[in-house]
Amino acid sequence: MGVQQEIREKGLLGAVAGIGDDVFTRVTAGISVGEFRRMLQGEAPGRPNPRLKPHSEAFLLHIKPTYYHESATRFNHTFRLGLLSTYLFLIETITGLLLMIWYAPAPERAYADMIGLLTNVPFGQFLRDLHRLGAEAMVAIVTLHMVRVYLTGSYKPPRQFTWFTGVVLLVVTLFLSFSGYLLPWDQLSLWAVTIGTSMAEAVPPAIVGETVNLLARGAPDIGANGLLRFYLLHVIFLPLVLILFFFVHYYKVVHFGISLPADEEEIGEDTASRIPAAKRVYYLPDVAIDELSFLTVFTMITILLTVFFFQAPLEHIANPQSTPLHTVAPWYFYWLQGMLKIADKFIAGVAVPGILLVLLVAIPYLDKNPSRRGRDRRVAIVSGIIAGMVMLILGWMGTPKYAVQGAPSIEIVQELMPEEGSGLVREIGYAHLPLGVYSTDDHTKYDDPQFAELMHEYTAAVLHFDEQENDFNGARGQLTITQDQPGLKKINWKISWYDAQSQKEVFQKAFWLHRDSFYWEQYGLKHKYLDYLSNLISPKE
Amino acid sequence: MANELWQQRVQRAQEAAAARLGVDVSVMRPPRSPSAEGSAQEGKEAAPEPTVPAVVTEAEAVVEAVEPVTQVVTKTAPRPAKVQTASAGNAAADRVAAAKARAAAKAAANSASAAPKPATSRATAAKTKAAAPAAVGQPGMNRREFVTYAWAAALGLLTLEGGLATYQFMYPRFKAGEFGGKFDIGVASAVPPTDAPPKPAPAGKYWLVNTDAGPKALYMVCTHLGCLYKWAPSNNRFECPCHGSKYTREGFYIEGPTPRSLDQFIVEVVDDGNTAVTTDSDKGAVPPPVSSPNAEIIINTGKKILGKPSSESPFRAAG
Repeated sequence: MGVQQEIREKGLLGAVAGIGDDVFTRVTAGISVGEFRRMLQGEAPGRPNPRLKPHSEAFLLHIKPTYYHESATRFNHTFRLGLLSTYLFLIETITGLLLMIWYAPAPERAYADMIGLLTNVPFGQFLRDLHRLGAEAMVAIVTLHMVRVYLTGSYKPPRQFTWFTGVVLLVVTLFLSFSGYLLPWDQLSLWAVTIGTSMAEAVPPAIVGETVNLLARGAPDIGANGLLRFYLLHVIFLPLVLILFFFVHYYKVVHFGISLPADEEEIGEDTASRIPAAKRVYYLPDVAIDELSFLTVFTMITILLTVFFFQAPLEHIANPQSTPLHTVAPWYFYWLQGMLKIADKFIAGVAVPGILLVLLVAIPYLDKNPSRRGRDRRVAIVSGIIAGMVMLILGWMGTPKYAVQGAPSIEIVQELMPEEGSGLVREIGYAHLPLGVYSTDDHTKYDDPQFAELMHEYTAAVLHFDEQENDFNGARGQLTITQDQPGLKKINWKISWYDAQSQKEVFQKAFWLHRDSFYWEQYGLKHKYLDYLSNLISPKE
Repeated sequence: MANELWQQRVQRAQEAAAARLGVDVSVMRPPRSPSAEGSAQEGKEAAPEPTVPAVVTEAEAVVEAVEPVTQVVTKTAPRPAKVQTASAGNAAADRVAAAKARAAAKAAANSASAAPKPATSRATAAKTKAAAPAAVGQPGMNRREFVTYAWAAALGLLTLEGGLATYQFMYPRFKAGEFGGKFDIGVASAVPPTDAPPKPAPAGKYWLVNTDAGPKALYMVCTHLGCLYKWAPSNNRFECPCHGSKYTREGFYIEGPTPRSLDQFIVEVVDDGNTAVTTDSDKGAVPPPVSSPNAEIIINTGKKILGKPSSESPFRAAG
């Protein structure tokens, strides 16, 4: 029947509606407009179920299961962590692609490109912060996902290979985060990655370690070659590897089905892929809407966090001649840094992580207990908790507070005005640093509450080290603030003390702070809000 | 489309099934339901309460008739309810009947066979005009559907906003001093006098020409096919080496194959906060007047005014 006859029979509107319905059915691979509306209204599908067609005929949905077991769709069964990991990867890819427009991996322009992104590109700061937050969130979420799978015992047969691909994905995620770390080319990047690649150098035999190190850096030290190689790793090689392993991982997940809560199955049995009709929850529309709403809420929270609370740091430009105090690894490598402080670089950097990785992969094969129920797996769960706690302790040991303390005078100044990063002085800001000479011996009351807080911290730190250290007695801290240039203040720290032999010693360090340097914006909203609140209580100019 | 053929097939199937079961063929065609809401409301089959019993019993009768023959194990109770849901709708009628016929033919374990086919709205549109009485029940969308559409609209808005943000992010940014950005060439007294030859600025790709009306910045690219024309001092004009287009000192077309006079960049004269810019007029771009010798001159190489057509040039050579 031609279009014209249709028009004659149904009227023009009717014919157009008919064509529209046709097109809609084709685009959705089998769901007509009527069926779509019935889906949204919450009505049961007809028979045969047309909502299954997109799963078999369309590409995008073909890997998604047609229906899920009702117990597996509960939020506190999986917490949707796997879905979230995938979504975070998608966010990272999109924001990363956009950031690539304004960044080139060459040492002579990388840092300038970062500054350009942060100051001269609309939404540049937002996208960079979102990319950074997404990366850190992704590392956290995939780790939590692994913890969940471990606690529900979902790595047990038949899912051992899924677990293996998952561990690979975890390692690739960590490397993705680490390789991206170098790209801003600031002090933090350069030295954190130098440490990381030096650990690779520790792999025995010597020839292997050195070769791996050279391959990664492209030169004995990290420079232009290293930056380019890390960039290529970060934007193409590691994402491809991740996508490949993700395909395998997700295929296996769908093939076996999401494991059911252990109490709903017989011990040792896996019925996840044989779901009785009464327990089926169909992907279209129920699970699809559920996933979509979850991801929407998550996106909203992430955007709010990025806009109002999170700021990716940018330190001074990379200086291969000078390593700043308190150089730290990224937080997910604190455990590694902690170990490096107490053992030599082979054991802490290669052997233990290697053993850890092998153990992780071997868990499904070491665990012979057929039961996934908590009460039958006490050993596994307790050892998991202990392992987690060990990681946390090692992580704390990785922070600068542990075992890399310098001399007290250095530590005092580093605490209040660190070489890299913010510190209290910069968080307070230019406006709250009155010119003058101040001493920790004075007991004057300062007008400005924030400056008063600074002097209070200074005095407390000096007293603290005075009590603690034998070599640091009768200490006195001095702070001199002068106007070096219009808009530029010079902040001079001078600490004098008597050592154990009653010799007088002095330590001096000078910093400059410009009126327009917004550290408080970068690192701490705390003082901004304190300012705001104190202005509310007692308004002043 | 293929509706007629389809209808014939359906009828034949109905008749065959009826014959096999030994029932009247009208059993295969449940009555068209009052929920036919007209072609305006597509696809929604209202479940009219009053007709439920009738259809249900009929369906049940069919099911029961089917059972001994086919030993279908129906998952009884819910099924009839589902039957009425869809078959109460419009032209599901025929498809329903066909489905029942097929169920009768096969000993399908899934009682899905007793359940209706969903009515496609194409069927709806095709058949509804014939359908009779007023809609009973709730035609239109329910709360869930409405909220879903509202949420989809919100997501659509979010996507749109994201797209706009991405566009703004991606749009090229021009630096001052880079081609595409602004060039600050200093105070007006630094501009060469009105009788001096044009001064080239390769970084900005323009010739700086001072005219009686004000300074002009002529784009260095010939308006013919893109070569860079040269200044010919002996002839006191611009001449393009590629195809011989010639222009006056102020950029007007003299002769040559080019279709228009030279393009210009917008010149801004900033004097104590007041900005005068090159204006585009019928006769060509009018340079901004220089108000004082201390005014700053800025050439904006991101904004270009195209030259007027050659035929309008006041200096075009005769013939």
